[in-house]
Amino acid sequence: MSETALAHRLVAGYLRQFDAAASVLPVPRARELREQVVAHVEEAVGPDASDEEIAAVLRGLGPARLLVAEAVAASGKRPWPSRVGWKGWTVIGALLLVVAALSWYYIKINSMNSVRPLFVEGQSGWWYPPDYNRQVTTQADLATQTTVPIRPGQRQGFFIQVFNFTGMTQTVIGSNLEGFGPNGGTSARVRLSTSDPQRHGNEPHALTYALPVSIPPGQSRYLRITWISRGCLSKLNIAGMDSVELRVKVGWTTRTEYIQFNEGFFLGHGGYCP
Amino acid sequence: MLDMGEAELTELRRGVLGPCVLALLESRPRFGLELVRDLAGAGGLLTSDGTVYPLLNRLRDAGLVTSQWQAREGERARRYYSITQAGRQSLAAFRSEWAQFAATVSQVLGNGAAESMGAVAKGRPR
Repeated sequence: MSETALAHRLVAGYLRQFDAAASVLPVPRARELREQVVAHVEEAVGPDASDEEIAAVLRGLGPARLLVAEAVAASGKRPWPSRVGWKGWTVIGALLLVVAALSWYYIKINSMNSVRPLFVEGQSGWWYPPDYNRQVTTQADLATQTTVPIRPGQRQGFFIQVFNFTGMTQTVIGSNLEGFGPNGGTSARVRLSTSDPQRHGNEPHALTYALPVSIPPGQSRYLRITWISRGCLSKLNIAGMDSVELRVKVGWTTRTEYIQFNEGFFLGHGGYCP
Repeated sequence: MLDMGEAELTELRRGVLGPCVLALLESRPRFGLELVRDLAGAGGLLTSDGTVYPLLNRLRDAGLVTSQWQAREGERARRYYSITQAGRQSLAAFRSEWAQFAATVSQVLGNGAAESMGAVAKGRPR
């Protein structure tokens, strides 16, 4: 189930809440706890688990903020310097010497890799009028999704707003879609507005879109994802996206950023199919 | 009557959950969900499944358990937790303390109940 369950909107929503709450934990501790939560969900949820079963597993785990509070309580009984001990301090001193001996280049690369990824916030919606006029928004326990009828053979897509809250320019150069959209859609295109929508009244259609696009510190861009839809979907099936991986250049390093949307964009059965 | 609140119960559970985890690991290594299920199966020990993981990390930090990824044949790779020698010693010490502690608490609770019943009996009109 791994990929499927982790991509499930309930699980993704829970992990988003966990990530937000876990910002108070040291990064390695937060990463470890997240890995344990993910493993728990992967073990507990079967390959064909229903929404109710997945929700039950997440309820069993308890609210993400309480889980993090438990981790804070478990690790916060004594101030960390007294837990380190003299041997620990010796090791830390040695490590500091090693770190000091590293070259400026190495440090610079690391600092670029640790820059916070692009952040999803602000405006979002379906791109084409036939879609945003017929969208249906649903909200389950932990996630929101909008669904529109699939229009076979026609281009469909959506946009979200992404912010660069870091002190370095981030340049989006590609994505993991490799031409494919939901439900086997083809000719997928990922483009970004070439200017900050906040300076143009937030009207998405008034902007020019391209790739690659650089986002200077403190600015935002619309990220537009479109594809040519294929096939039809039965009344019981939906296909869509609630995240995308972008290839982003930061300084002179290139990395992959996982962008989790605040809502899922899904295609479903509709009036365009028998 | 004094009701024991959820907060007090949570504190009680928190106090004994660590030794219970060590006791489960004493017989054999277990992975996270397995521990959660065994503890949940015992009844009344877990406020939520997720609390086990911060606890395991704390026990590991204290050197009482270790963890290791293992991929057994036909199974997914899992992080298995094992008890350390220090963990066994800690568990043995707790068992010894717990026996004394539980006996004392039982005695006090029993005496308290007996005294209360005595008081009621004395106050009953004859």
